[in-house]
Amino acid sequence: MINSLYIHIPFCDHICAYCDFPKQLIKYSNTDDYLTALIEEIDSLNIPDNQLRTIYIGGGTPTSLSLQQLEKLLKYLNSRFPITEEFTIEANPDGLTYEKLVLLKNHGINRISLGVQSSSEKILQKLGRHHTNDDVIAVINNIKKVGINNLNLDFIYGLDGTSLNDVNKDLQLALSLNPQHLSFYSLQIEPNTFLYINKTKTASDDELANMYSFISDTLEKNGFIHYEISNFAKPGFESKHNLTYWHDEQYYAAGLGASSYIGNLRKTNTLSMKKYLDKQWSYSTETISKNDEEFEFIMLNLRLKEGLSLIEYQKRFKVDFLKKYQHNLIKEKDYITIKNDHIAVKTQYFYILDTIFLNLVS
Amino acid sequence: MNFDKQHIRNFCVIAHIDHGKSTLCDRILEKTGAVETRSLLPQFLDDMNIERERGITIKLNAVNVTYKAKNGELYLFNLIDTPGHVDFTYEVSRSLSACEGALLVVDATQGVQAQTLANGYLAIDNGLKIIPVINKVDLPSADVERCQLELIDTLAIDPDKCLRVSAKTGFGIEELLEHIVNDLPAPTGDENKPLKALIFDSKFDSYRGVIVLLRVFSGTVKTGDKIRLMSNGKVFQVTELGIRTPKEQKVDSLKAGEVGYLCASIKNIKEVFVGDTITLDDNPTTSPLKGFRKTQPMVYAGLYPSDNKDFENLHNALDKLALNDSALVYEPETSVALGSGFRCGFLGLLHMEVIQERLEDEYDLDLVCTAPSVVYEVVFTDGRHEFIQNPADFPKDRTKIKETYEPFAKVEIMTPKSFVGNIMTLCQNKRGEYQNMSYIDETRVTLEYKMPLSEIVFDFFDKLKSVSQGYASLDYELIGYEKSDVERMDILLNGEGVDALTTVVFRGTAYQRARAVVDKLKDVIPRQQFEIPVQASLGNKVIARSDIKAVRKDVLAKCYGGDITRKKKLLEKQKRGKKRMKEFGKVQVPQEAFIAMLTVDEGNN
Repeated sequence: MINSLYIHIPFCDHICAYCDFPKQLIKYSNTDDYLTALIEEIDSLNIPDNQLRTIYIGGGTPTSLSLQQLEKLLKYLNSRFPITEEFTIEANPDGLTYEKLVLLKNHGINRISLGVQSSSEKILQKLGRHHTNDDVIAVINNIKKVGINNLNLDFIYGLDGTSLNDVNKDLQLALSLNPQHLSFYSLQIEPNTFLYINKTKTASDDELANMYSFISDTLEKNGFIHYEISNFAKPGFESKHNLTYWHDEQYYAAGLGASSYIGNLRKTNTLSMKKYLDKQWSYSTETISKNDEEFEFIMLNLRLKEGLSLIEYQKRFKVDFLKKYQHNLIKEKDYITIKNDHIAVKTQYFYILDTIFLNLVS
Repeated sequence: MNFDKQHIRNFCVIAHIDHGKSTLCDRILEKTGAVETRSLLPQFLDDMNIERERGITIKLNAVNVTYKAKNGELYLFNLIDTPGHVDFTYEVSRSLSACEGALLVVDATQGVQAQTLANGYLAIDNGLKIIPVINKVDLPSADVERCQLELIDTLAIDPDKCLRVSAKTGFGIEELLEHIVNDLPAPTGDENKPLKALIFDSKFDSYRGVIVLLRVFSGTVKTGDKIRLMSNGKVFQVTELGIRTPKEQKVDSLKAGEVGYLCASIKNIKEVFVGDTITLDDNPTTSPLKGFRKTQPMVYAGLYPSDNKDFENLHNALDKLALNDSALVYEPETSVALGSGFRCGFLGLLHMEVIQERLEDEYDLDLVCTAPSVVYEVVFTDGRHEFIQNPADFPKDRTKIKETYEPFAKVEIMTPKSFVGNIMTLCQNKRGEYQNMSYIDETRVTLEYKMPLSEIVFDFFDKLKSVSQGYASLDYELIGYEKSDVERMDILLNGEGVDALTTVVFRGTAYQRARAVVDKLKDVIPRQQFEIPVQASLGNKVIARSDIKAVRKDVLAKCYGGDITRKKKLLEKQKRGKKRMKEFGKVQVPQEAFIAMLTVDEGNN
């Protein structure tokens, strides 16, 4: 059973300096045609009725669409998938009007993921963001006012020249806004982004590691569970949709550049808007062999505080994880815990997960 | 086809790496019609993969092509390709001595470089007539005038004699062919005298045995003749003679002045030495050709499969490579750290690298290669002598050693005189003992030093290039063993000794070397989950230490639906990297660490 659907809206009012997702400026885009093609693509997926538990509308900036366009998309989704447990939309503080919020609420959106990124005007400017802390506070008040009470805030830390002090200010802002969920991403400078072209650097690994522990400690002290490498939630508010990925379960996807995982195929859609509008949606198909699947299963599940379910592993791969990796587990014993049928990397070693993971599976 | 000597031209093409030698050869083959344009793979003569990849010629090659000159007569060109590195100086000198002329190619955008000089001098020493060719004149950054000035300053070449060519576009090639006919001397030699033929290359063929490339200087060799290899007196019967156009074409005989190949059911390539003279068994010459010497491995290193299961595969691969490479020697050895492998002997560092790459590329082996070392002689207090090829076999206990000896070489460095100061400092730092300095002309100097081979093997060539901006060229010749105060230096990772990192060092500079080595290892061994001390010790005394700090960050911040494929590929790449690492206790060491021992900068030159 496939319970999740990701929908990509590749439009933005501005392009952020760090972003490498498929997107384009909305003022030059044919958004109406895109929505038509998108709805047709979702139809073509033949998703069985009453099967989806989560829908995630990401971007880009989905809320950069007009009221009418949002209404068209949401109405369609409501009619197709009337019961959805978790229905998330990504948004930016600038441009998320009260009217749009009312519309979202009325069409079943029950979770908003808001890109705050930083509390510092200087850093926001470097990241190419176009909002202020006042915008953030105003939007969050409105979100609460319309009655959406599952809110995530995204932050990015670790630009070169920033310090624990900057991170502390971000944390104070985040906590004062009282969200249910927080994502703190260490800045990754991806090729073809503005930051990359300008040769912007991140802070050193040592500084980043210090920032990371500080974030983890502070949020845990304030009632958040550090449930994934970069994600924190009040109990019960872990993102159901994103857990689909981390549990290595299957998902549908639609929209420019979106990736789905169905059966043993991971399909990625075209990045060309022209092709997408011509309904040549698919771009590449990767067949996930049983070996690939095992690699991905471990790689993804170890991102979680809860770790990898030994029972689930046994069910999927018909071997005993502990037996198979016995030799490596002994070598890595200081870095992992095994309890309640789960094997997990200790939270204090999350920041060197890749090293530990590779030592485990090598 | 029969050509009298007046219509034969034997020549080679010499150049610095990447100056377009192989492209020029291709163009000559194409213009002479030896190879049809459309079937011409780029760089026809370089038929090994690795040569194409690195753009250098390692294995020699020769082709015979015909050219109809403007005077209406048909000429036979024997074009001999030469390898381009100091390790193969001897092979180059042998192939040069098979020729009467040389095309000296200079890249118009680069000007005269170290090997332009080294090869140019070699050609002059061998009495060759030189046709200077300035290549790549089609490029916007070409500076022909500068090349001409450099050529007159360094090799006293008349600027008016320099030909302007673009091997890429074909510009100037026809003029060049005419110059080959008109400027290069025809071979001489009496075909009725006793046979004297020079071996300048050989390779192994599983059906015909060793195929010898040879140049006949006097006499005639015919199919069925009994030939004698003069260095070892071995006698074989000629089964096949031929030339390569470049396809092999059988002939009945090869006469004085001619170049071709010979087969004589020779089973073992180790019996055939480049530079050796072939004569007839029943009518031998009294004097072999000059300049022969047996090449001997100068440098030894351990080659180990990353995965011990590959030991047999490595063995087979070495057997196969050695069929075509008489300079390669090897015997099995075992290392505590690396398992089973081979101690291999090479002509020099490039030879070593080439063999290693061929094993990895052509035989798909994953190898760990230890730092190269020379052979030391140890005299024990009980009077015993031992030659030690592997530093890990060098005795740890100094009290049992009476004295130690190491091989020394006579080093000749040719350099423009402005670098003499730098080079003398470098040589002194490398324990060089000054012998002589002589002026070749107003601008060039030959410096002569006596130096331990171990220092040359270490990083001398790279250093020499850097202190002379690439202009100095180097030749060295072993002169035998001399007493020298050397000692074993061990490396400990996380407190445990790693035998494959053991080296033998000169006591006078052991502390400097130890410091440089631990710092270098600190840089090449990736950070791991815990701090790792890296120590160097003499005997049981630690003399230098450096710590590898624990890794602090190694994780991808974001991993959602669209990131999984990319993330997996990234991690799989890292996993492959890890596979190539060796584990010592809890410490993972990449292969670079073993070679890194060689490239440490002691900061004293």
